[in-house]
Amino acid sequence: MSTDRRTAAQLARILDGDAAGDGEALALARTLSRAADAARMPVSGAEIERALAEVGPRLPRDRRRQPRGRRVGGGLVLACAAVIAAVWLASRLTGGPVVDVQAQAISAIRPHAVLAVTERVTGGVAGVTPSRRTGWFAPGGAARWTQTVEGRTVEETLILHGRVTRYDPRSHSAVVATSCRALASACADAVDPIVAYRRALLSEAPGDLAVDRRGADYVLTLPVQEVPGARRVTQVVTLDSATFLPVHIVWQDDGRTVAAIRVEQIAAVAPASVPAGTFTLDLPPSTRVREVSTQGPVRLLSARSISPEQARALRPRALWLGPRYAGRALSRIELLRYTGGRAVRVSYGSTTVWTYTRVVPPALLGDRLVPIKSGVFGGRLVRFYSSRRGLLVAETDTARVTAALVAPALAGATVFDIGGRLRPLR
Amino acid sequence: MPESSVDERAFRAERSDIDAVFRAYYPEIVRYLAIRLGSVDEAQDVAADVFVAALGGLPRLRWRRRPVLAWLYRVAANMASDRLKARERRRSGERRAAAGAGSVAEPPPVEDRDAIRRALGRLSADHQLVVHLRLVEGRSFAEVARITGRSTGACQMTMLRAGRALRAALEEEGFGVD
Repeated sequence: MSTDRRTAAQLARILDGDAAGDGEALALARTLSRAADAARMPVSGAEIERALAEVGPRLPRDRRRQPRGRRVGGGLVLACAAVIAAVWLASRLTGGPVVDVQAQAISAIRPHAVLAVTERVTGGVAGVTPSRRTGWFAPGGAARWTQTVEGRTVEETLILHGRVTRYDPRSHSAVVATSCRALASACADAVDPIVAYRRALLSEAPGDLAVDRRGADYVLTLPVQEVPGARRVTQVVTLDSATFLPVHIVWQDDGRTVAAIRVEQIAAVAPASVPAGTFTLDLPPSTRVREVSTQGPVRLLSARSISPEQARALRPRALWLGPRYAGRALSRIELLRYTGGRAVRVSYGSTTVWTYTRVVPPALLGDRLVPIKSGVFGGRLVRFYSSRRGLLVAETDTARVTAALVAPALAGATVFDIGGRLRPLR
Repeated sequence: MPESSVDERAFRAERSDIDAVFRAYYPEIVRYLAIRLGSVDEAQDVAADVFVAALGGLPRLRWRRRPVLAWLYRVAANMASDRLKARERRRSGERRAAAGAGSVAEPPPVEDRDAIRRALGRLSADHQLVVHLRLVEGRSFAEVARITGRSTGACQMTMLRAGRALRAALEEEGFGVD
């Protein structure tokens, strides 16, 4: 691949919001985005109607629904009659008019629009605190949202030009990453259920979509993740029968509910009509900012076991689940040094707790799959994802470190304990 | 096949509803023409002609794996090109007359946003279209490829070249580019 092609591909990834940026590609992305900002110009609905009224008499209205000069052959007439009969028969059998739910649903979410969404998130497991997310999601990958619990902000997030900024107002700290890929959870919370729904809906072949009726509403079942040999994550989406917009989304991991989202408000907004300043996040003065690096490959330089006393002396402090967890004694504490940073791994049999600051351990990045969801547990915002080896990973930030709890399954030692039990190793 | 079927269904639905096509695409065609022509008023005038011409041919438009929007952009690009050529001929005449009278043209006022728009206006038609579709309208590169009839990779290369040309144009306008 030539240098220009590589740069072009990198520029595209930055503009799509899913790559780290540096050098020429990042500089060009900024220049181009600045130019696009200057070229955005709202055209109001009233202006469109005025233009349509002016142009209307010149439009070929008499031929709107019938191509000119077509001779309709007898065979075609018969075919049309057969289609009409089939539609009529289907309508009689189903007790209502035949509706192309897939087409209506695609039309309702307007694939090129920016989505303004307010949703209430609850978990499928005990311990999750209901939270509310309000945000904007652009088709190109830019996103900005605020997550609150009982009106209190627990996290503000911005994804723009590939950079991710997460601000925690309680600890007055922010984590900045050069891309979603730099984060162990790969922006689990960036995979907004509405965005995931839109993506799955658009990639579904016509007629392949599983549609059920629940009362007056339609229920669609779509994949979130379908990787051979890995856990199957699906989304069950209830559509309003009048608007065909999603009102309720349930994510299921191998049939078990992991998150339920009630869509309280959703609006599709033309990119040019998005208010200026929407995709910004101004950090308050004196915010403690921690940057997670992804520059170059991260290599393991050394790994050694350390005693709890040695671990207690580390700064910033590592996190753990206490001397025993889920019936298992603490089996090992390791200090791992990487190019660019270090991590501490605390093991309780097959359950491990990782603590890291500037680099994400490759073991966490290596086989991650789709981010499942984020939720508030014990006052912490926790992001979840699954791995190819069948592990479930929960990741959360404190002011100084990021911690990831890795467990083999949802049952038994559960990653959902990350909110309540995880604490500094003192 | 499945994806093109979705596109084809959308194409047929749009082809049969002229008002809906107008309402859906008028804003972006105006924005595109505003970049090409450098004037919103002129863009609105030309957009009206674009829709009359394009929608007049719509019922006869055949499915060729490209959306109706691709047809609109093609008509818009051609009309913008004609308008720019006419403007250039007119300006050449005015410049000759002004040179004869010994007058000196005033430089345009320099404001950030205007300068950026001018720089954008100096890009080639291909570059403008890709920048407009991907960044102003927020379409994915795959969609840009469908509308322009090129490969995704070719659209990404065009974006790279557009970025470089834009940077050069902004530098000429006196702006440092990061």
